[in-house]
Amino acid sequence: MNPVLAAHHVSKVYRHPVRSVIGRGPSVALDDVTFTIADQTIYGLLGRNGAGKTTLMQILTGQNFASSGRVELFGQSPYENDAALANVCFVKESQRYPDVFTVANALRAAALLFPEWDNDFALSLVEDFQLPPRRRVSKLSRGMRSALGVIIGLAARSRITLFDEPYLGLDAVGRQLFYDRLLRDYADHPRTVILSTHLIDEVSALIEHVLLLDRGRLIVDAETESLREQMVTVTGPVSTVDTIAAAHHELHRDLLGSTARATLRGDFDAAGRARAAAHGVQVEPVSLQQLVVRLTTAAEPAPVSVGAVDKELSR
Amino acid sequence: MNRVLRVARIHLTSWRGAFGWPLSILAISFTVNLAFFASMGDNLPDQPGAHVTGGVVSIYVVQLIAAWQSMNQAFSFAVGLNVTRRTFYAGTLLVLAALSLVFGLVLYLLELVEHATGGWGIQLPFFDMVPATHGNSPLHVLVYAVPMFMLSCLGVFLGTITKRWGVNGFFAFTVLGLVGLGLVAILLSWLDRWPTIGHWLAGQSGLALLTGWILIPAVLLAGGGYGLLRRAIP
Repeated sequence: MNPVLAAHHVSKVYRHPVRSVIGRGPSVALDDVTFTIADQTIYGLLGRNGAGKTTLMQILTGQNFASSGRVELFGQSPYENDAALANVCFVKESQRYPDVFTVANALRAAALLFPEWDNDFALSLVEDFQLPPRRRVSKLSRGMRSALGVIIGLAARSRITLFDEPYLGLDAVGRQLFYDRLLRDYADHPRTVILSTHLIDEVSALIEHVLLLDRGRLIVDAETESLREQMVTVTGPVSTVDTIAAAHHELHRDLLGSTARATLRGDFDAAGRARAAAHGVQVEPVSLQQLVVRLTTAAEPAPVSVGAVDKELSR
Repeated sequence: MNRVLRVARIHLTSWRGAFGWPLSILAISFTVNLAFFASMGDNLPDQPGAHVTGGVVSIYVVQLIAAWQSMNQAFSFAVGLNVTRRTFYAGTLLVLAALSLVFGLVLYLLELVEHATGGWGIQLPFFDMVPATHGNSPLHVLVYAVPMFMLSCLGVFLGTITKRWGVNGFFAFTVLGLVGLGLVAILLSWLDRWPTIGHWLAGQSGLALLTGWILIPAVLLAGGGYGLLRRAIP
């Protein structure tokens, strides 16, 4: 399938004019990031605070500038490209609204900008999220502001929709509502969604493909399913766990007396699992959240080249 | 519909923001002046020209600030939702020009009322405040509108500076600008060119200055603002 969006060796370096004089090096926000985004797929862009997720999304939509590398949006440069950008909706947690705008104003303005805007859908979402249409956006609570962004992102029905931390402050009911409406509308109107979030467990059933950023580097670019199969925790006697761990890459270990619980990366086929079980070792899948935590806190430096983890995992 | 027009409509989404504030500030300024001069009535000489007020400037200041704000709030909103900077800028200037014309027309109509009522009954020249252009010609719409558009461009330019480099950048630019203007003034004094400039200014009609020449700084500010905005991040 043709990619709708692609990043080629994108780097972003901030050079502070004063700090560079006193010898502090430039800070690297993105380091040689390369990937492609396929049409009609839901992506999870994961990573810790400051990993570069927002900067990457801004560069993908031509709102920020890469220090080197390039971005292709529908095969073109996104910078100042109205024709391409009209099909993209980027809702970020820090989206600003003019002070005089009410909720209704914001929705009317958004309706003007997105060619596929569905106003009935927007109104039904306003009711679902119980937003007061006449209230000024500046007077909304954090969660309500997030809901407004979510409504714009969903009702825009853009061919590519980027959500950057879309639901900070939104309660569990609101978040569930977002997942439900997103999935339902995605089924009727397939499109590409890129979702950056910290609530990984909540979205793990939603996202089909994982992009994991760690300190500006893309360390995972893999389908969620294959990623899950390639990481397990094994629990059992220390000596047995040691034997199994030796054949794999160990990311983390908890010790409980003579019992060890290790998170391992590698290939675990049915035979291997059966052998482990025979030795009294329990093999369990790792949740996506655990996987991200283990990969981004691993003691050794993260793999440099893009897709390295992916390759290692599929060995 | 063209995307530039869509951006223009976004600016007009809130009527309170686009028309409400400028007109109510103007109304308040007018009311205060009217009340003040009416209460002072007997203590002021009765001949024309004794009553001077700059109250109409209030709407110009409001428009300058509104233009300034638009480069911050509306820019972040629209470009954040993937309008290009070029389209945003074109739509913004279009709205500012249209608003200048609308407010110019409003001020002109009020000027006509002012003339017809003998300065609101107390010889108060609140709207007709530019002596060089007295008269009832409809061209007065432009006498009001073009300077307002120039100030809007100044607001856009200063707003862009603030967007790119923050408040510190704005102050640094202001200091540099004032120093630059000061140096030009010193240079002109040193070369003894002030009389030449004075003669040139005296040779121009008020109409030419306020509707023609003033467009030069407007275009320079608008062009400079666009150059700076092209690298701005919402």
